[in-house]
Amino acid sequence: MVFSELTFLYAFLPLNLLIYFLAKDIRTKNTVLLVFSLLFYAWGEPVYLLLLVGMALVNWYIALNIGRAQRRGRKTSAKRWMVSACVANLGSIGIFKYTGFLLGNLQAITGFPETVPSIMLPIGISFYTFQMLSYVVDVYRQDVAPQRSFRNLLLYVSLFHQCIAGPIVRYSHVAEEIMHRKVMWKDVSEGITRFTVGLAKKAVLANHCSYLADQLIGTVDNVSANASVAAMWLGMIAYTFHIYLDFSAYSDMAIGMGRMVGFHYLENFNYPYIAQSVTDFWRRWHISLSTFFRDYVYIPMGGNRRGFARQIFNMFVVWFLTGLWHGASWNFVLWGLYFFVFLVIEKKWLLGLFEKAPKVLRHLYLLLVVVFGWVLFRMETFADILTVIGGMFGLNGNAFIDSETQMLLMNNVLFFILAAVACTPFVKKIGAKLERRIGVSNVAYTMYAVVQIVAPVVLLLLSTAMLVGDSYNPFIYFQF
Amino acid sequence: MANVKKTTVRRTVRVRVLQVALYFLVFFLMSTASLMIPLRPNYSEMEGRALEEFPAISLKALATGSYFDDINTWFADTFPGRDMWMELSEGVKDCYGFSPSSMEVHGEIEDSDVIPTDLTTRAQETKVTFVTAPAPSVGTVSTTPPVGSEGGTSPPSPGARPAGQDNAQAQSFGAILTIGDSGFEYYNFVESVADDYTDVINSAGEQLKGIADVYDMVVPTSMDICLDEERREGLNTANQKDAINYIYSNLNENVHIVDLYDSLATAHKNGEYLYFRTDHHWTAWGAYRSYEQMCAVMGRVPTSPDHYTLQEFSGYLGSFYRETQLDAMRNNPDIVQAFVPNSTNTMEVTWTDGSVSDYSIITDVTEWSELYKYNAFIGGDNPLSVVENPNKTDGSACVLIKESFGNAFAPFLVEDYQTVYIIDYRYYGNVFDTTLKDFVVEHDVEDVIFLNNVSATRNGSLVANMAELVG
Repeated sequence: MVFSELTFLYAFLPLNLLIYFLAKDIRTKNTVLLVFSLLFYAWGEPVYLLLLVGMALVNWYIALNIGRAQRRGRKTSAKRWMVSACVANLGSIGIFKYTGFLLGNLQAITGFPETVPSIMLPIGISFYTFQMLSYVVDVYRQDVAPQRSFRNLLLYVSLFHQCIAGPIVRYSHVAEEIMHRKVMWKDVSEGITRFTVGLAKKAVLANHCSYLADQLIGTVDNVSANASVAAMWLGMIAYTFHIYLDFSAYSDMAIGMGRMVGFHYLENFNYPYIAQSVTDFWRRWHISLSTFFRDYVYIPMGGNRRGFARQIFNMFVVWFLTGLWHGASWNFVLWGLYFFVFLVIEKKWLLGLFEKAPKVLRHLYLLLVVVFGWVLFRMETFADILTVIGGMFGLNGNAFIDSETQMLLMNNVLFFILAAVACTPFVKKIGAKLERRIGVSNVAYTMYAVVQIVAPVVLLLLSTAMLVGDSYNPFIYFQF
Repeated sequence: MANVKKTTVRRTVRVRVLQVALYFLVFFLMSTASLMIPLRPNYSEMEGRALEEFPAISLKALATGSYFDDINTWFADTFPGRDMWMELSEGVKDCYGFSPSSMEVHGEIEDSDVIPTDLTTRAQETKVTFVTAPAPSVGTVSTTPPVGSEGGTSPPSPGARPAGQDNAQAQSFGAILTIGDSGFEYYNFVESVADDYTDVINSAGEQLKGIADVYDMVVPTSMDICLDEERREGLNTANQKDAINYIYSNLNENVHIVDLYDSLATAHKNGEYLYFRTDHHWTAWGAYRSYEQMCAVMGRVPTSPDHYTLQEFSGYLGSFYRETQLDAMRNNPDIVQAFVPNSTNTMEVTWTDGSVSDYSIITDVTEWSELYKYNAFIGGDNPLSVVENPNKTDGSACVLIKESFGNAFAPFLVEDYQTVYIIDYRYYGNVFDTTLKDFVVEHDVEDVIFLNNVSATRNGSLVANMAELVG
């Protein structure tokens, strides 16, 4: 199940909230959350639920043993348990996510094996495996005590807010809240606002951006070789909006739903498209993933403490893995390494230069790097990557602009502006400004009250309309 | 200062409480409504289709999770008030920008193959350069008696919709260009499918050599006929004239080709109402102009429209409207004109479920839903319909092999043959397994007429259906 499914919005979530709020004590509330989370996972992947629960069991058991070994001062034993957890987690993600990729490459080189097995990717495995890894490593580092109750650990791992699409919540951040959390009006109110903003970002903005990108440059499986230069650029811009609005919308909804029941998850995005350098961008984009790689790969490998050459190597490893984490395909690796190159260039030369460069120029540079990065991300074959990049530079022999692109731009010009504004903190800043003045100005108070009270309902209904409208897919089915 | 702080806190709390209360009120009301099964629609008037049904449970569907996907689809598809929500979503999308010259594209345009133009063109044997019938004018008042009074089945109830259409095959529509109140279907040339199509027609010609004459008519759509070339310049739609020429050039001498493009283009220039604006079909006038061309190739004199009784049904909103929901179309619907044959208005129809009954050739659809007025012609798409002309005893017979463009065309054959067989090749195989040759021999048919709109020649599944019939 995904959050933008009407089944989730109007059947799963209301039932979950209703029963949750009716439950008296925290134990019952946690049971409610757990049962719903397992149901949520099973809704799309009934078989792989066993994998999720099994992996949680393995990690729970190992973490308990690490704790026991450490209490008894057996460092080697603790380390051995920790290594076995890494093997189990990386092994499971390796088998289920990367077998096809590895064997496919092997086959391309050696001709063996004859058939590459196709293994269906268990939904959310990339996210929940990293959560469990961080849990075991944190226990090993004695940053957090092992969770004695399997139910509680399973709740942390499977919690439907973040289990399948992040943010990658660290156990240490929510350990306390699993058994001790209080819900205030403020939490529910801010949770509602956050959730509905995320919902609308997904249902109203991201879905239409994706539609526009498909219209302009073709679908992922069927890239249009005939697209004009303008269509390629506009299509990639639409995709650039889509990927941020879509991904951050899921995080918004997760954070919002967490708040409604008293969980405080860390922010996952901080308006990445307003960044002024690639370095800055990666501090704002998918924060829970980049901090994961920083804390569990980069720093343990020595970070920047072992000389420049080693630092570059460490960065290379991190960005190779970051790319590979996004999908078992070379284009994702390329995408990761692409950023590695820019980060190294910035570290060595550019950031110093940038101090004198005008803001606009720095921002434009960042946006260009990001847009071309998304070309690598979206197109799965090198041929398609070349088609799009060639098309953007007018090398495909197509017109600069065609009638359809002109039409589409005019038909969506206000939408593009809206999508761009939604990528900036503009609305949030105005809201904060109003909020600061509600004690002194009646006008500000009225405006604030109206927006705050009405906006979530309007966004909910608007999103419903768009989701119903999208379920109607007129161009797929038709009777001649 | 302390006062300001107090006010701020008091006001913040008040806003928060009100916000949470209102949100949960609406949220839970919506949820309750969406869980009320009886509130869920099972048919969408707006889209003219049956909505998803609750999926049947099976162990396999459960294990793979497809059962849950189907529930999600059902839940969204039959959402209470879906037509209202869809109108809202269309309304919102209208605010996304401007449409100068009211042009919009709906749907996804597919890439086209390059049409080979270096061909040895086959010219049509004879061409009509004169116009035999008076040019029709839109909106003439009809004073004819109601059709369907001659036999046929009982008249449909008000707002009725055609039976047996819900299980119709799904086909890809591609994209639609709209200019103001008119829609135009994009056409992309697919060489391999076009070649498969000519193979099928050639095979029919081969098999029926010495048994019957085979005619092929590929109908261009309004995109090319009604939009002049300057307007089409820069649009990503393939040139249909080139495509049809390519197809015809690959047909061998066993097949008589009927070139419709130029005569339709001329008739359009003369201001004739050949294609609907809100629907992808042609009008009876478009069909009549093509009938004239066919007669020229056959070497016979076309029956004048005077031999028919003109019937008009106003307020038609067709497939383009259904897909785009444009106000401009709603405010200016099409008029369906139908020619009722004077000899007979009755035919024997084999329906998609295999049952057989009499039905009107032209049905009075005045009271029918605005979306179904094209079903005035031959009761829509059916596996087989047979018309017997009581005024003819010469034993002449033809078979028309068509998709829905043929519906407006079929009535013009009635006066010319003693028996007209109408086969919709998409549904024929559901009920019959006789191949075309056996059918022709069995019924002593002399003319076999393929009438296909150009979009059918880019659709692999349709051509596969045709190939099945030809065998």
